[in-house]
Amino acid sequence: MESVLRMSGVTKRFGSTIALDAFDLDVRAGEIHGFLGPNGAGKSTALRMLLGLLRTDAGQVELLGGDPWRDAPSLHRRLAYVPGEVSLWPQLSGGEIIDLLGRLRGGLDVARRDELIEQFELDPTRKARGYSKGNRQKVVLIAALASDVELLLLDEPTSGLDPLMEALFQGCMREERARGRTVLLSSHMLSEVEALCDAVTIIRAGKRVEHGSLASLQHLTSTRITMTLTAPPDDLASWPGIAEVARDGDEVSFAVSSEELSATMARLAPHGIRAIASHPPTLEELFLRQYRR
Amino acid sequence: MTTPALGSLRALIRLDLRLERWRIAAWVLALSLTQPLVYRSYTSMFSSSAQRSSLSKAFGSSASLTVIAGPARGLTTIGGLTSWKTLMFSAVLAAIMAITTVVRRTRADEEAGRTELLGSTALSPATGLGAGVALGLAASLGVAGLGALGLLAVGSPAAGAISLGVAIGGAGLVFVGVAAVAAQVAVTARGATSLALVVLGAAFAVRAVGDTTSVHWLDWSSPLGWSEEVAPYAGDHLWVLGIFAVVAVALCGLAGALLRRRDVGSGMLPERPGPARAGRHLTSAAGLARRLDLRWLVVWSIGLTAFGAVVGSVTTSLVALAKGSSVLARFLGPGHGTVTDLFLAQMLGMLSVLAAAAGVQAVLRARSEEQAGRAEELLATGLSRTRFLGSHVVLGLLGSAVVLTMGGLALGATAAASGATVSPASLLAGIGVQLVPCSVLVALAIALVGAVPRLSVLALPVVVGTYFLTSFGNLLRLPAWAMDLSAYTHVPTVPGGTGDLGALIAQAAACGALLALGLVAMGRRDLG
Repeated sequence: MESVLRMSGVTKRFGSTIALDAFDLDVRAGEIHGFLGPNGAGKSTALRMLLGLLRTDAGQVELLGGDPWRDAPSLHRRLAYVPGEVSLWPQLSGGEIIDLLGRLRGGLDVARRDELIEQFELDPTRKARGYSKGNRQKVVLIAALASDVELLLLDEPTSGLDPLMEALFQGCMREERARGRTVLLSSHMLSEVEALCDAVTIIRAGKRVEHGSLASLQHLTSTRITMTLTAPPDDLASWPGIAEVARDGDEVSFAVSSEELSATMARLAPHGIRAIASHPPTLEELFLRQYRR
Repeated sequence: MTTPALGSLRALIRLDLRLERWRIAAWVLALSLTQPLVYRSYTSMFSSSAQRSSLSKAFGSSASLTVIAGPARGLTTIGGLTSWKTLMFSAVLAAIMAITTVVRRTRADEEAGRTELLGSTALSPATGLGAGVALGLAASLGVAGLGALGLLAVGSPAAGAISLGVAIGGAGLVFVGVAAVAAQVAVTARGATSLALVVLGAAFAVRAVGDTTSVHWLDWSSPLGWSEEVAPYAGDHLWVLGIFAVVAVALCGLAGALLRRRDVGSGMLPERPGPARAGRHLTSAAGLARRLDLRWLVVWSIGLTAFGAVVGSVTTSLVALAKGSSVLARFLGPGHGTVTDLFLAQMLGMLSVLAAAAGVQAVLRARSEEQAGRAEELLATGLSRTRFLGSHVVLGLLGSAVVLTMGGLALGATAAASGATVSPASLLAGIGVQLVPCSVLVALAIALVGAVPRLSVLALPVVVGTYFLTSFGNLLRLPAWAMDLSAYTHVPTVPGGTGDLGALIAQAAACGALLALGLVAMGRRDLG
């Protein structure tokens, strides 16, 4: 598959702080690419650089076969962007803003627009100053989804949405992928990324610390289990999908990949499970692991 | 002894003061320095009482000046002249100071959700209102007190000094109350400000009708009418302060009562819905810029047309006066034309600086869009940076040209109607000449926004400084180098027909260079 966007060795400084530090990113055509990282890791800076809003200090950026700094307007007709902090014109109505952004992008599908407004339960006649954070995000999201574009750049688009709308959003993303569109989705929520993304890039302190297809990153999505067994197996560490085994008397703790979870449980049952505690790894835990390296 | 409620009120007032100190200090200083400065300059300008009585006759008979400044009372004294020149103008500004201060610290905070945050602490809802109101009242009293002290310092009689302070500060007190009520009624800060400004406009209109017709009692139904009835240096009715105080307290009490009856974030007036679809004009950056700024340019046009018309209508009486006054001749500056020509040229210059302020405001919209993050959303579409800035540039340059032309034509028309000799050709030439420095000021703002956005806050102060140099520079006998700072010093006097055409061409070139610099630099810098 060809790359739709690529950043290689990109560095960006703001005064003495380094926002991006020889950062790499590679998004392939037709995939939903998850972009994860803690607050202030450089996600938004990278996205704004892809949009040609910021200049690079070093490194190359390529977007849809062009240079986002040089060819911004023509490239932008082929993409839609949803910023993390949505700021709208308080005196315009939501419907007016959707139409304006769509027209500036080169036209939008009116039927799709109306369908999305209904699905997302947005009142398009409200003035933007009356919208909540979630509704402001919906306005920009609808404008993006109703536009005829190849690439969607989404910066934490669901941070203000309720769980119902979040589910609707995930459905929309799958439709977009089925239409052959490429999505770069920056997010805090590992569950969202797991549910949607084909590939993932993790950024920390301006550097790419982890990347690849979701399948190749299965070790990131393991479940941590602590159990007390009557007779703990000695060879647990060599079982498939098991990592980070620790043993204290008859209490063992280990990480197990989602795929091997059920098989592991079946194999452990004969060893006499007396107590069990499990917790899925949080994004925080993943980052903590990155910090420890 | 301090109750918890009083303690938290004090803490909130401290917070408000911390947020508003420079703004309030600037307002209070500007409003309290005006009267003493005018008093001092009039002391030297109109030293003979014969001069003052002819001035009194000329001004007292002009209905349009009465509409703007109120009835001419006691113009035979320096104090009376000062009061007539500054009272209405300063009272309106004191009211605007009160309105913006109170709304910023009450409804604007509530709209931004900060009130909710504070409300979750051990504060009663009334504390926020109380702190905002206290700040507004203190600022108004500051204007009254400092203004009176300043007048005393330049040798004014005590009763008159105190009266003028009260007349100006009193308007501030009442409009603190008006703004406090408006902030309960409207849902948004903009709505509350507009509502209070409508009340201010109505107060102005009511007293203007009262002053110019036989229905004098109307004066007593307008807070600005009360300011007039204080009659500084012409009776000094200090008891009117009681009316200001009672009405201010009553309005603040009403605001408190309304506050207790509503939810945080809600108002009394429903918000009107907008269209579900964008109209045909909202298809481009230019369409958006027009939607955001056109109404302001219309307001500027109306304002400058009215200003031009009023100034034009007193042309003949002022010109008659100027023939005997060396100071007025100095005000008009050097030139070879008739006094009428010089006067019109000078007024066109003033209109031009004001028109530049309108244009600069439109251009600065590009910067505020960028700071709010909305430019980012626009520039992520097919819109180029040049077009984005360009849409505001076109509106700023064309807008200021239209505003200046309207003001200039109104000036010429009413001047001719008042009996002055005005040649249409030279009036149009004068407007054309003044377009150049006006565009230079707008282009400077464009260059700042494009190349050094951090410094774009300087664009409006430069216009204000230029206005000061243009209208008071000759009068105050400022040194040549100071006058040379203003672009207006270097344009030919038209009508009047003197000056250097080369300087005008050089300015046009500078304007083009600044414009190009701004547009090119905009495409080369980081956004945000």
